Amino acid sequence: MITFKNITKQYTKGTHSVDALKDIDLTIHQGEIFGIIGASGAGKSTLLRLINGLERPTAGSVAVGNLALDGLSKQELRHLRLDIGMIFQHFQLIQSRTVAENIAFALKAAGVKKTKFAARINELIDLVGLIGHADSYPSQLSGGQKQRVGIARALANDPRVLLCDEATSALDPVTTQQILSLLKDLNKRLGLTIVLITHEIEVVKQICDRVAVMDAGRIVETGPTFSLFSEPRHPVSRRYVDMALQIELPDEILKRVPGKVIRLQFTGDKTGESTLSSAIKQFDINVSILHGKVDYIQDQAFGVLIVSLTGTALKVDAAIEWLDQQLHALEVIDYVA
Amino acid sequence: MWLDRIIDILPELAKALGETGLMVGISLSLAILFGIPLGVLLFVTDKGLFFENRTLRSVLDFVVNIVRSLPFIILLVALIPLTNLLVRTTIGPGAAAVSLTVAAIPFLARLVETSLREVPPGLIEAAEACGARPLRIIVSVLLPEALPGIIQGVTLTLISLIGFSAMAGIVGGGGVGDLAIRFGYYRYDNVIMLTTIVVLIVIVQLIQATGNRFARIADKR
Repeated sequence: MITFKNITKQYTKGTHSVDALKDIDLTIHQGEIFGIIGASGAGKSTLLRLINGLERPTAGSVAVGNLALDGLSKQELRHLRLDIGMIFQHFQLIQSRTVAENIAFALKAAGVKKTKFAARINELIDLVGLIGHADSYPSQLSGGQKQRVGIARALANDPRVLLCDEATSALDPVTTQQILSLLKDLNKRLGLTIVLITHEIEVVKQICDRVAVMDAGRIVETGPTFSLFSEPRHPVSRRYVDMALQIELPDEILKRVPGKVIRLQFTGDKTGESTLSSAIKQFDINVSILHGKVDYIQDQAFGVLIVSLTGTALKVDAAIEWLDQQLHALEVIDYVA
Repeated sequence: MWLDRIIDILPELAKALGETGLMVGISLSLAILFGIPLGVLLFVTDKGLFFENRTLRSVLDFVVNIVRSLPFIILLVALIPLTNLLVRTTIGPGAAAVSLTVAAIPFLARLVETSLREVPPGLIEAAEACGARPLRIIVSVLLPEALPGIIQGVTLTLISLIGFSAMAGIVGGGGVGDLAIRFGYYRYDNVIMLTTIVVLIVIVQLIQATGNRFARIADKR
């Protein structure tokens, strides 16, 4: 659906030039929610803007559907933009116009007949859950409501793609949840392809089917969200995953705990506890759970347990070896004799 | 006694007010008609905007600066040939209106340009992302968002025009300011001087208050 081939983007200021994007090759499929995560300055915002031509690459090509953006005239580019909605961190609504008029702006841009405005605007206001606010001004709305107006405006001309530029970063956690579930719902109901950029791993975890991790202008890892969490390959990815899972034992506790402390990771149908209880029976060891968390990513279970194993050293080592075979990943965190 | 003096002068004052109204009215209308588009042009031809055009922008910028750097009294005299060409006379309120208009257009254009700069670049980008044409963005986004500032700009232009029009006496334009100079200054008539000053103060206060009111109504932020 959206392809990036060999993209480079350089910004030149005087004799100084900065590579905003380097060697980007990426394909985003139709109907998926694709996340691009990275720190600020990683290039994700530039990458997103290549899709609707707000930015042009220095080298390489971008295509949406079968349409390559390279040689498009201004007119053709405007036409393409009608097919690609976009929402923003700071909403970017026309402050001097009401909710209905803000939505009408997108319809006017598309050359829709004025007689069709009222019906379409009502439909959109209903779709994003803003009934009763048609005549409010943006300043009278909460952040979440403003973003809903942004979404309604972006969807006014039935686009195939929705670009989200840090769409929830200015919202509180509860509102973020609401907006994310609205996006997910729109993705399912309308078959909308959503490309979102964020610096929040929680957003990726909750709604993205696939994700690209960016660092310093490059994509360092791409894959299904679940794989990113279960086996992050790049250090930057690992940092995001650790941030999301927030499983760490304070050193003080690690020192006090007897036995061998291990971190078990389990995914899908193999739950940690049943494997652990088999280990207890087989090897005659004691297990105490120090920390644990089960998360559901794309409706698949993903869990981490930190346990300490006590018993004779031989049996403990054998148990660890067995567990390592059974489970996805295992890590010995610390050894206290 | 001074009341009689004021009553005596009332017909003169009324005539002067009429002349000021005429000169300022003409030049303000023309300033709005040409100054606002010029201000928009100064803005949209600037770097990074959709009609970016370095040559045009520098030329406009240069011309605007030239007109704005001339003291009005010099402009008034310098434009006599142009006035003759346009209104076939070099005296009277109509003649003075030419110079006032020439001064007011770049003045208002700068103020309009400044208020357009207050529109967040992200909003312009969002409008472009909607697939809107530049003209649509100007009409439906830039001008409405800058409206409170533009109203303040028009108010300021109007007040400056009233000030400038005091010099219109040079070309026989008349007006309230001219009345103050002729009677108050040349004839040491303090009553008339004070009366006209009070009248001018009241007019300017009213204009500013009205301008503020409209700007507030237009401001939905």
